[in-house]
Amino acid sequence: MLVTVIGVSFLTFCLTYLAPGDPALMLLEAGDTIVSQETIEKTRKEMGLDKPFLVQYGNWVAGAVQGDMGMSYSAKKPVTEKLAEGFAGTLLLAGVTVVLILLISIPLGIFSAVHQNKLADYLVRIFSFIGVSMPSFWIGLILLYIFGLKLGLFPIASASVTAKGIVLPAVTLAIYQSAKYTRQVRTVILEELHQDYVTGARARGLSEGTILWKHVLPNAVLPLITLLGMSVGWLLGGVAVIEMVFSWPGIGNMAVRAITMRDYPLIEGFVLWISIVYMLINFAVDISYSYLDPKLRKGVRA
Amino acid sequence: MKEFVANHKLFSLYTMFVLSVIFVALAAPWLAPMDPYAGDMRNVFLPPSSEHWLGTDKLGRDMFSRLIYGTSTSLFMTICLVFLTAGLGAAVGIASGYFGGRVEMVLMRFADMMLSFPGVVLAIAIAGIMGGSIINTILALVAVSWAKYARLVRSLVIKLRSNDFIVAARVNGTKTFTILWRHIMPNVLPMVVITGAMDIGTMMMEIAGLSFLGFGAQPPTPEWGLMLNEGRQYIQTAPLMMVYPGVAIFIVVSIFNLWGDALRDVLDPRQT
Amino acid sequence: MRFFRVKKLFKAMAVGVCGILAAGIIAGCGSDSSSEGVNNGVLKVGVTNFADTLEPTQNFFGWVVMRYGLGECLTKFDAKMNIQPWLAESWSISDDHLTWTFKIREGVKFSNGNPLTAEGVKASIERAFAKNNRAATFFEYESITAEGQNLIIRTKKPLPNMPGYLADPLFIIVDTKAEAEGRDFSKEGPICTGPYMVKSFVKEKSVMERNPNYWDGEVPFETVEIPSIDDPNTRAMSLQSGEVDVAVNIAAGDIDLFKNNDRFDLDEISSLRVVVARINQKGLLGDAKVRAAFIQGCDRETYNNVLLKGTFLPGSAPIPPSLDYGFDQLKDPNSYNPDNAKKLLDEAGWKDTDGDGIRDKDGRPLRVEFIVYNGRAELPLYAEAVQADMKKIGIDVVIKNVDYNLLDQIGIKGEYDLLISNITTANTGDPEIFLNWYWRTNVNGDNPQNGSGYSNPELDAVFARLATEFDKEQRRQLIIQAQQIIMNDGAALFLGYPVTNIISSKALKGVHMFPSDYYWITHEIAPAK
Repeated sequence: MLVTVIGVSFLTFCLTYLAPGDPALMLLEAGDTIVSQETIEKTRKEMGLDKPFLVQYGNWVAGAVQGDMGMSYSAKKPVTEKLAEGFAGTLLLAGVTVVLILLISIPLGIFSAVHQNKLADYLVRIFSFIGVSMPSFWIGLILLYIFGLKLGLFPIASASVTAKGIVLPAVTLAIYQSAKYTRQVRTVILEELHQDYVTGARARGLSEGTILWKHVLPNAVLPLITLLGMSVGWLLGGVAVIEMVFSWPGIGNMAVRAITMRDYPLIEGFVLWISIVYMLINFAVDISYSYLDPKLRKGVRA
Repeated sequence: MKEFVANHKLFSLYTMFVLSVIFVALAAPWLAPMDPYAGDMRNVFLPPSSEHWLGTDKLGRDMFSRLIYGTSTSLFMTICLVFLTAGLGAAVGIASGYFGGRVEMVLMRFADMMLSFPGVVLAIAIAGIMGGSIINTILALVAVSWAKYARLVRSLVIKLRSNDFIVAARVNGTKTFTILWRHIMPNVLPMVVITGAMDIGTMMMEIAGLSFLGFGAQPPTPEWGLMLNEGRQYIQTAPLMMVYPGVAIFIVVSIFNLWGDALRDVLDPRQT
Repeated sequence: MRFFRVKKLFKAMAVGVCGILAAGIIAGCGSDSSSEGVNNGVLKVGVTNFADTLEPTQNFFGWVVMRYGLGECLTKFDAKMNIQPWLAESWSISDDHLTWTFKIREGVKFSNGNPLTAEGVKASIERAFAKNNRAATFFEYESITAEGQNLIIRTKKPLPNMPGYLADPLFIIVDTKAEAEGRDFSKEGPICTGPYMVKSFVKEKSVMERNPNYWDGEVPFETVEIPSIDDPNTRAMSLQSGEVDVAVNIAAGDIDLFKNNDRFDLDEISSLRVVVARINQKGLLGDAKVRAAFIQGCDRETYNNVLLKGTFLPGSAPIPPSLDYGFDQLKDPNSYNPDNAKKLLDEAGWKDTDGDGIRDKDGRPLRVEFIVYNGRAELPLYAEAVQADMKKIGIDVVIKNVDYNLLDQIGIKGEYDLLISNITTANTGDPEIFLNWYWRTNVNGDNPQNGSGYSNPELDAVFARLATEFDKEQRRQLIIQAQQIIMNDGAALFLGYPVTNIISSKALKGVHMFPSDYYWITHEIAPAK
């Protein structure tokens, strides 16, 4: 896991190192501000730009560990501060989206699996198929047009975090993700339903409801959590586009701007940040495993 | 042939759809009624008419022609992307699976790293830093998508390696390349093809997404993601401009998704 | 047993959900949008903000400081571009034309309560000179002294337009004492004398509050929120939905939505701006014939009248018709003529030998790079229109999108073939500086803005005369002369002149767009009732 964080940050660092532009100059220069050659040299030294590449990378990592990711060229503020500004927005959006995903997909997936190959199942499958075949940013635009513009129910650009403003971006993200996740839930439940123990339980005359709630679901929780973890990973990436569509003040929106502005420290900081968050999510998934799975906990099959 | 079609009705139907999409892409210059780049700037945002089936865009270019050409652009980019990704992934997978040892360790560490990171984020960063262009978009997405194939192929190769016929071939002193080509490849290919086919839809959307952000195809290329971005600017006054490319993406992605699922059912009936 | 665990899991999830929702509600409170805000002391203005900080001497960020109603200068321009007193009550010039005396207004306080003195004004102007070399391109002074409330500026050369220079937002008067006491202007915002003061600022949104020490009457709003909504269409939508009460520079495509409307007032005026593509003379466009062909191939009538629906006037000369500098008498040698453009390219030796639709010479395609930025909706549209027109005559135009912040440096370093900008031609009330900046010969960086390599001694001579001419009519003639030279040389592609607009909810009064484009939020903007 840590390897991932280091590796990804190294990759990004390479990329920005090779990209054109003198970081010292970019940090100092803003339009016509006077910058003397000495100042540039001094700043280069301060920033450690005269050192070899690997040393620079080492310094950057050392700084990052202590919470110092350098200065954003465009905002002339510490990168950590910029990231913190946007993080709350993104976290909130992602959180609400995950809740929506769970609320939509789990009931639909279970419902669809239980009624396999019946009308309800087909309807759910059509929903999820349509959901995964539409680009999320397009869904966003359509929702924006209908609910923001024509009906005026939700704000169109929420430059600040508001309860009303979160609805459309969260729903947009949730539609695509829950379409995907509903499919996965359905598959997982179906798989469980075909297990021997279900047949056994049926033979013992247990009701379908009891089988589902007491036996199938508990067994399905683990794979579902794994898949949800993967969904959240996608969410962190997909969120950038949606934040842009809705002018949502999050780190994704900020990263897109940082890229157009060639604000390399901010880009590096963003990628590192995402990889850390993603690592934490995976970690949480692992922990929930050992907590939830009696096999791992007690070492015996329950 | 007849028997195959009869046995795989759905797959055959979807294949027909896919072939039509490919036909549209290849025949774009003949199918499109007008030049997708040239417009009469005096006639912008015309409503649909017999002359301009879907109306004209902000520079007076024929929207229908641009959508048709967009099929070529999107399909070309996606196919390049899928081939490169699958090719690179398979090569890495075979190399590490067959040779093992240090090569395997390094390559797989790398692949794990790429797998355990939201690829879209990195692709945005790479494409953005390198500057928006069709080629850079493809490279950026290849860079973040190959690992899945590498993992898959490696696991297949490891299983195969200990198979009798391969062991026999080795003992007989068959050249490594021949073994890889004659014995490993044919066994690995179906899985790679299935995975690749199922990924086409997703990859097409990722390409459109990067273009939408401005890090992919650049104006005046007729590319659906880019056209969506342009349409977005006229959401109030000409909302149809953003509807058309979205519908186009939806239709083509649906076709490829259906086809991918059907192909998997045909080639690998176990996994349903 | 297992069931129990699932229950636990759901419990944990429920707690998480509640936490997230609670956070959302807390974050949502206080900033939830309401269109009745203007009657509750809150004004919301949708703008596009290019400034990363509110340090007035950094880049062109002073413009933002002024537009947001934070900073003020010694002088200002009225709706007819006449210079009016502001922080200076009056001024006079000595008989030798070298000494200006500005009487600083009595009783003005900075927002922190410090009184405004001539001494403080001196320090502020000197600060601008020390921090930004654009200051010296306006004027160079021999000395600045403060005598009581009088500020005395002595110059080496006679400078006819001194009061106009001091109206530039670069010379916003800031409290240097506050800076000396440790306030970081670029982080916390400057201390100025305007009706509002900074409460918080990030590029995406700034919040301002009433300046309790304001000198010029009552300040109507307790709070002014200014979200930066970069996409002009989103800005229009936000205005329609009531998320903002005022929006600036609504794009051509949306402007009809606000015309003759019972919810909104539209104030539009022909601005002092020009959309110009600077042409680099060091590349392929260094060839006068290619350059002329390029300009003649651009159908500027259509760009402005059709694509931009008349929100721009078609361009030909450097200075827009809204200023009286002979727009109608100037002759455009490169008016739209695609057939002649093709002929010129043929003559210059560019022919399409490989049949790809792009002309080439010695195996090199006729390809040029056009730098644009997205901050203003019309710029990419112009660029794409030019690109489409150029394709018709066989020139391949590659559009490159950059951030506004990089534009200035790209211009100075000359890293472009064409570079689009939307520039004000008379930010000091007189177009001399504008012409001078971009087209006077740049000798070893003494005129950094001219990074195009353009040089014409004849034009330089006109600039030399202009620098010392005090007579108004003479100046006018010289400026007309300069424009004609620039046009004859095809030194730049003048695409159009914007009609700027500011649109406001009918719940407000006093919202005006000024030709100078410096004053958006003023203390005159107040609730209608």
